[in-house]
Amino acid sequence: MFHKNDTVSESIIKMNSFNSTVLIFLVAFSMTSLSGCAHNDFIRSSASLPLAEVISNVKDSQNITEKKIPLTFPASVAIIFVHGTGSQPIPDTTLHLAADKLKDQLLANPKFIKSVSVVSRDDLNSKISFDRIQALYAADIVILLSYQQDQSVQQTGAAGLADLTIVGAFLIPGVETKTSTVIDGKVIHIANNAMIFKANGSDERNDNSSSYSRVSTAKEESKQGLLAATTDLGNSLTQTLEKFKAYDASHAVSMSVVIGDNTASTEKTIMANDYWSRVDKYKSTGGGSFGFISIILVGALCWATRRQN
Amino acid sequence: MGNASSKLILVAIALVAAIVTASARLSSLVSLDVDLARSGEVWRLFSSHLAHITWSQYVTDASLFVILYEKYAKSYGLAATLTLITVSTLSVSLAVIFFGSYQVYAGLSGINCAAFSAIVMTLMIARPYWFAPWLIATAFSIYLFSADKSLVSGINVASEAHLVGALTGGFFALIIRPSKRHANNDSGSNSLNLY
Repeated sequence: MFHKNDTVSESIIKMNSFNSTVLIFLVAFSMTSLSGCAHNDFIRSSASLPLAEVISNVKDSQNITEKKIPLTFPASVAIIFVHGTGSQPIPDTTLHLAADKLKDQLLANPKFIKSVSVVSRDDLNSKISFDRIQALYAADIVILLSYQQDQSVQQTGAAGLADLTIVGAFLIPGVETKTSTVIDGKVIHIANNAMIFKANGSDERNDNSSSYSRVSTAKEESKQGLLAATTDLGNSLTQTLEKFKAYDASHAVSMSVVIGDNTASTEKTIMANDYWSRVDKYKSTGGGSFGFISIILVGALCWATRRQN
Repeated sequence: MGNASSKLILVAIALVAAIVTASARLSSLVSLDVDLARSGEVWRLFSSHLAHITWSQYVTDASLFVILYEKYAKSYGLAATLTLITVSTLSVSLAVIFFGSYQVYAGLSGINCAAFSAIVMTLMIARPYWFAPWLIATAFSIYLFSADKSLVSGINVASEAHLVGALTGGFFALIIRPSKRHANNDSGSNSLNLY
């Protein structure tokens, strides 16, 4: 690896001084890149479990249409916020806080709502039936809430340059967090085992943060987005409470239809959780680029080593 | 063992990676699922690099793996090459666990970055006033930091894995010298020459 005309001692001195320079360069490089390690752009998606995984098989209300029971007010309500799935679901405490917010909104209408309970997470560890909810919480109505939340964290190239300094990574708000949340609410009359009303709430928000605080910002935005979307759902629900008075049981939708076929849904979930099966399916379709930049770089390196030899 | 043995071992690793890539069950067993690795499945730290998410990722990674480590083995010998592979395997996996934003990591690209930076660093040390290695190193650094590399071969690139791989190779080049025999492309000793 040395020039033919150099003596061994000259080479060693030259190499040692050069190595010190390279070492300093490398230490500086690693310090900057360590701050850079954490700022990948990423997209996080989280959603509630399918209803069939939380609610146990229900009898078909369509078969007992002649026995429809009228809805009486004020009613007792139980709220179920279906917990999430995936690698980073929204924490149960946040879901409980959101359910509490909806509880406060509903209790502001004493003409229609007598009492509201939030079904605890422990009761949802195994499938729960509406009969059991009625027995545990003395509820006439169940509000089933499920959510879908998507978050993307992006950094522009210009802002990324700021991260080359430790100060920039801590102070410059160059990372943008976008959070979209949709809440789906189903109002179920337990006695008729049927869905009587459906409502949605949504929220969209953006926030900027520094590279250092991007994870905490994303978590906070996720929580605030969920609470805002639940409030939105609560608003549309309370505005339509008057319609409940004229509720016609014959128009209610069977819960078997709402929840869907149990077995098929469970199979779908197993498939969705089997990451590598999906990956394998994708493999057979092929596609994608071949990483030409890295190939060009290796080509250049091979040329340089050949020249060196 | 000479260069032929090195090449044989590298090709064997690439073939094992092909078998793992072809099987969803094997890929699932060896890939670096961060939660499973944290829960005690330690082998994933070393085995994850054999799995690939797409065939195009495999083709790029495996071919560059053989080319780069074969070049490295010519200068440093088989023992140093296997040491670099082992060390970078571990450092890249740890980077994914502690700094990564992906749940599952797979691929040889992280350890390829280690070989790349080790070779570039060796060239820079051997001929400090030759501009070509510096130019390649600059281009490589830009590649590591650039944002538009985030989707290569149809998959998201874990930049932290590449960065830590490159740093491992760089440090490795500073502490281990190529043996004179291997520097002259002779077969023979596989000893590591530490500073």
